[in-house]
Amino acid sequence: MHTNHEKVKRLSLLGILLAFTIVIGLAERMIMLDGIAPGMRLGLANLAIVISLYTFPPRDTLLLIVLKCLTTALLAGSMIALFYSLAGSLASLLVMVLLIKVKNLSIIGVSVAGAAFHNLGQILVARFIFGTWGILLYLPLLLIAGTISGIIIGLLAKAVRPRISAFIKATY
Amino acid sequence: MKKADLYIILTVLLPALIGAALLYGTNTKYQSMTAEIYLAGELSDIIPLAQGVDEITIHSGEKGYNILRIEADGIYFTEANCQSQICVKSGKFYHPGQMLICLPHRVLVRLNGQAERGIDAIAY
Repeated sequence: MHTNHEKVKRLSLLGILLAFTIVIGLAERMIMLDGIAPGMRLGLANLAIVISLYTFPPRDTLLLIVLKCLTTALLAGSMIALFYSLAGSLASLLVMVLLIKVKNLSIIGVSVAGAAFHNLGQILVARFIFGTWGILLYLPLLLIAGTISGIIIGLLAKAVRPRISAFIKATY
Repeated sequence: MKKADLYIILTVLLPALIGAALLYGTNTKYQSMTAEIYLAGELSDIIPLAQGVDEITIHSGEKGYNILRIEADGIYFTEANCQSQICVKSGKFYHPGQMLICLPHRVLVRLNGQAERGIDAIAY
C-alpha cells in the first residue's frame, strides 16, 4: 500500500509540473521579448524542470521534457517550435544532470548553466534552419537574458523545493 | 548561493557582455551599408541602403511574404503574413552584423557595412 501511495504521489506531482510548464509556456507567448531577439521568452516553464530534476530521477525529468515539448508544439501548431524546444530542453537537461552532482554548486548555478545550454541548443537548431553561423550574433543577448532568468528560476526553485519534498515524503 | 554558482554565472555572463558590447556598444556611423537577403539559407539579393527609402516584398515558399522597408540608416519589416508577427515587432535595425529573421518563412536579412573611420566595428 505504502509504495502505491508513493507512485500515485509521484505521478500526480509530475502531472502538476507538466501542466505548469504547458500553461506557463503558452502564457509566455503573450509577453515575448521580441524587441531583444525574435521569439525570446523568459523561460519560466523551466522552473518545473529544475524542480523535477531535484525531486525525481533524471528519466522522469526526461519524460516531462519530451511531453512538454510535444504538447506545446501541438498546441502552438508548429513543428519548427518542436525542434527548437527539444534541442534547447535536452541540452539543458544534459548539463544540469551532470552539474547536479558537483559539490559546492547550488540550484542557482545549475539553473543558470541549464539556461545557457538551452540557448546554445536553440541557436544550433537556428543555425541549421537558417544555414548560416551568423545567427550566433544573437547569442550574447540570449545568454545575458538567460543568466537573469536562470538566477530567478534558481531562487524560486530553492524556495519551492523543500515544500515539495515535504509533500513527497509525507505518508498517509 | 555558493562560490561555484558565481563562477558559472561569470563564465556565462562575461563573454556574453563582451560580445554584446562589441556588437551594440559602438556609436560609429557606418558607410556603404548593404542588406543581404537570405531565403532558406541561400543568398538571394543584396541591396545597398544608400539608395534611401524603398520597400521590397520578399516571397518565400508558395504563399509566404515579408515586406522589408529599407531606409538610409537602417531596415525593418513592415508587414508579414505569418501568425507570430515577430519580425514586424522586432523594430528597426541599425548596426552592421545585426540580423532580421522570420522563423516561419526562413527569411534572414543581414546588415553589412563598415565603420567610417576605416576600422571594422565588428571582427568576425
